[in-house]
Amino acid sequence: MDSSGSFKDTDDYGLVATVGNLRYQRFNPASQNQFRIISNLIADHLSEPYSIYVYWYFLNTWPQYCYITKDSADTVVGVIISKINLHRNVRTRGYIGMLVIDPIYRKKGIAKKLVQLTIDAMIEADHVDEISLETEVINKGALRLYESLGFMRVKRLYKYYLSTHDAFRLILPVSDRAFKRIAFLDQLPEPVST
Amino acid sequence: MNDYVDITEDFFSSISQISNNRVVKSPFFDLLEGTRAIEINNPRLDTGLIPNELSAAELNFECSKPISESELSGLMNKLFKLLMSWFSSSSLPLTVLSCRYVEDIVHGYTMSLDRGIETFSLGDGVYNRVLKSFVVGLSKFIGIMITVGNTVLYEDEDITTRNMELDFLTDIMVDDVLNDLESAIGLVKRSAAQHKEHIIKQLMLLQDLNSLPILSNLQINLFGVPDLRQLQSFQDILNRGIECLKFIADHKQFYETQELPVGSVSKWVQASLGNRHIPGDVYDIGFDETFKQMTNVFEQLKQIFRKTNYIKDIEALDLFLKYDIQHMVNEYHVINKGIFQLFLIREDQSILGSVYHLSDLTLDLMNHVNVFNCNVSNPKTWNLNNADTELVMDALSQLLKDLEAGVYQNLTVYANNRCRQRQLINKNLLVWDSLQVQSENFEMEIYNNYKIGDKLSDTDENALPISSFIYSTKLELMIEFLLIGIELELYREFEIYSIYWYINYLTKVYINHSTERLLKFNKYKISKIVAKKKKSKNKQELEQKREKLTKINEALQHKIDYWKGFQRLINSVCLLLNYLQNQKMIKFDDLTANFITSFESLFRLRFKPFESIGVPSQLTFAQYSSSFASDVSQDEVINSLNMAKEALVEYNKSVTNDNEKQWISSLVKTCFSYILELKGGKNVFEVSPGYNTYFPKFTAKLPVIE
Repeated sequence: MDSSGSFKDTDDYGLVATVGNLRYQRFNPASQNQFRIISNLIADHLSEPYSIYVYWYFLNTWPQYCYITKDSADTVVGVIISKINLHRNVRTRGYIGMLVIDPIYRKKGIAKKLVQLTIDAMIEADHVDEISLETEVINKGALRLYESLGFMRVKRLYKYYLSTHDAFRLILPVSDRAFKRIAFLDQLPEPVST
Repeated sequence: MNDYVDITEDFFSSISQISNNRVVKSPFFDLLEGTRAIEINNPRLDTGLIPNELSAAELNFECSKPISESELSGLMNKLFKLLMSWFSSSSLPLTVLSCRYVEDIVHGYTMSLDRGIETFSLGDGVYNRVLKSFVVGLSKFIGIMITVGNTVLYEDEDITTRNMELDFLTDIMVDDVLNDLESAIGLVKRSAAQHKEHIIKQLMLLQDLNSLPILSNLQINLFGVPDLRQLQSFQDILNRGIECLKFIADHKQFYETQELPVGSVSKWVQASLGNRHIPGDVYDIGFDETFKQMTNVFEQLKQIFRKTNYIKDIEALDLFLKYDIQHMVNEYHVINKGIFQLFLIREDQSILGSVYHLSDLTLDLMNHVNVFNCNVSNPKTWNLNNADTELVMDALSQLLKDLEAGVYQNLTVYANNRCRQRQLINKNLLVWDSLQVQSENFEMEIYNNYKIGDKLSDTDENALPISSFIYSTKLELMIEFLLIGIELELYREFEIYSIYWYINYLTKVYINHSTERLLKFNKYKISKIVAKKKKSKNKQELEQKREKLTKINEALQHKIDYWKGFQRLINSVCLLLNYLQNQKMIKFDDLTANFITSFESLFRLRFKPFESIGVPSQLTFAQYSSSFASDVSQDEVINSLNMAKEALVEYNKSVTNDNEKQWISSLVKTCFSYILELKGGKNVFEVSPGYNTYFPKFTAKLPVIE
């Protein structure tokens, strides 16, 4: 809990896994409480400020790619927000937008589990060709997490963040389309959920 | 309140349409727009809350109020710091525009129809008038740099403008600004100021800053005798700037203790003008950093300008661009990156403003590899009727035009940040690969249809000179693309071997191509000239051609010698990593054991940029997997490193460019350091920065055998 309000949520919607006393649930788009908790958790722990619209953009369009983790006291301690889009009209690209774990609950494998849940859902529902994200070059923890799963640094983006730090763009290839240059791929139809 | 319109009713009427958790938005309002959206009452996003945190002095600030001598000097000092803070990845609203005087001048100019320099005013006091000239000069310089940035730099990477839709004195001439600053200097001299020299140095420095962009209009006599008068004249401006900077730095105590008018610098502008960005604190990099960076700007330009005046030939131009610009770009201030790019290639496609144009450069680059004295590039030697000549000429002209575009693309790479350089090279790979296909088709077609072409040797093999030149350029781009990735720390431990292994392959192909096609073809042409000379009456012309070809081959051989030394080092790194794997110091397979994807997939993703390239053939994961040797010994690695070191030391003896010499020395040091690391280090495998950006330090200690 912090000054912005309680992180408690008793909604049992979309339970997908239980690991020890931690429950992993899909975000409930009908729950304003979950929306508030998620945006507060992210605002408290990510350096880049996001407007309420950004949260709406992700959570309303791709609720199926947002997962939360709750502890035994129903407190939301972790969240992952993702989306999919058609990259240059030739690849279906999953994109992990935000991942936040309450510092008290870090190093317990929660982030890894959330990433895996999102990846599995993207592959199963939207048959993504690749999954991408950006992270600060100095964020060793995030790099360790994603690279332990096989994400690869494909690009360094100069002064990408407001902090002026560079970013690495990481990609996890999923289908053969990930291995071909854009110019040599045929166009794809827009995915249903975008 | 009279300026505001009550929209309460409209607002509630609009939001009544929102239902079921849906977002109502324009189709043009995308995620990017969303990240810039104001969220009312969120202090991290709502600039409308800024006035609440401003003091009464900040809210009620009056620019026309008379200022003191101390405030004048203090403000100019602050503005220099804010200016250089802008170039340090901040934005105008958080730096220079946070000064109310700058906002007043620029906003007034933007809104006014009468836009002459004489219309500006910041009050009638003598120091206010001097400040006005300074603010106008500063704003003009910012305007120039915004234009430079828009033309050749990347917004939000090299420079972050966010100009709040203000016009930074576009139509005011630089000469008028310089004269106005000169008048201000006169005003100070005639004033009762206690510290005239201190103020005048600040005004002079601003004059010199405004003179820097002149460089992008100067005309260099490329490959010829330097215009010493021009050289001296620009050096004088730079030297005067450096002197002013030294004076200011030496008098830090004075400048840093001068006053600022209360409320003159604040977050006011973020709330008072149209602002599409989130709130931020005023950013100031401090006195020392400001004047250190500014000194670098002047010193670097001085060096660049001097060097360009003494570029004697195409090889020297190539080395200058590679070692003095591309490899040094991280050291260059963003002002210089922008100005240099405009200085290098002009709107009329002249190189360094000389009579030498992009088309000349393209032809010279080809001639200095292998196209000189070829049948294909010399229509006089074609034995065709007029109609066919025209047909072939048209096709050749089109190819040359496309080649020029490729050369232009390469020229735009040099002064960019290293991340962009890699991305641009990646794009250029496609350009040069297409050029190779186009050129091969052209050369084969004219050979088959018109018997235009050149033999590589006494055999019937077609030399395909233009295609060979293109292939050579493409290979260099492929190698550079992979190497920059090392510098940018894109490769992790488990794949670092695969990268060097691939570079090793490409460098071998490059050396083989250079030796077996380029050198060989030039030698063949020389032998033909020598044979022809014996029977020819025109011995002098043939001798000149022979001499030129001999020089071309000497330069080519010199380049090959570098690549041979470099390839030996690359090969040594492969051996070193192979050896460490054999000794169980690195276990490439273990590092990828928990991946959701396979190493083979990552290998394919990594080399995707080469996927569409037919020649050289792409290496496969199977080839990679079988590339490890089981019997690499420590002695073998050390011997290989010693051989690389000797080759590079030998090559360095003939190097004249200072920065190239330093580059080669760093490669030699790399060889030494790897040998030392092999003989003793830590008990884990680590990759850390080394002596050369393309060769990190590998730390690994062998397990003790009991």
